[in-house]
Amino acid sequence: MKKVLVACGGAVATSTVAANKIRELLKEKNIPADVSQCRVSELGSKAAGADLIVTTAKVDRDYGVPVIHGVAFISGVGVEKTKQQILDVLN
Amino acid sequence: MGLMSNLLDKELIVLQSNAQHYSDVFKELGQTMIDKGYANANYIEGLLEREANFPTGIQVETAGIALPHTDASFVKKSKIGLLVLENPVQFGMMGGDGEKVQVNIVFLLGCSEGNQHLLALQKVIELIQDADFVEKILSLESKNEAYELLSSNLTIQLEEEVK
Repeated sequence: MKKVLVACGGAVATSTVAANKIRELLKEKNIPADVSQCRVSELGSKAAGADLIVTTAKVDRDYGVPVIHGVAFISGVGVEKTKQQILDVLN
Repeated sequence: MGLMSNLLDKELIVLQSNAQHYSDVFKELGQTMIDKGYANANYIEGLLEREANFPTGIQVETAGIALPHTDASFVKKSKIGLLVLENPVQFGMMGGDGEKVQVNIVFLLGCSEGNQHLLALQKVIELIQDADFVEKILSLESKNEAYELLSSNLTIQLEEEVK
């Protein structure tokens, strides 16, 4: 079971959209995963044990976990590339 | 109609805005939210603070769009506002490293607690990814037309969601 954290400023708005798209993607590719949401400010305490962080906000810190920018899920521009990056990390 | 049309208010639709800065946009839509009892008195400050920390400008194919929002605790009643700019206003790019987006269309996502607004939010984001919809927004000529466009699109999408 892969663990994916989806982070945004408030953990409600944009991360919900991105998390749903990621759940759909992983289901389609038969990758069992626990996709959960948090605030960027919570990443420090939640990143441990995660396989991937996807964020719609800017992240400076190194959490020891791959970070992918997920703004494409909001803009619709470059979605396929972002999906491929996610699959590359999880496969 | 019910669920989504409750999220709309013609007074939260502004076309041909002459705002010069995003703070003008927040004041214009935010003050209406406050005056109509949809948001707390410090809502505009909340929008400004969130935008400074987590900018919401995004570049879609044919326009710059911003989706300002705050913590749900600032909002008493969920509403979606629309403001179309006469001249683009600069927003920070969502998730960016200080990059800017020239924004023509602002969707204010006034989200209170609960799930209803999340559905609406997702629908708004689906819509802004649709170039035809964005084109229609940019060519709107009246508030009534804007209200009809928003309510019909949000409603149709909701019905699809229910199936």
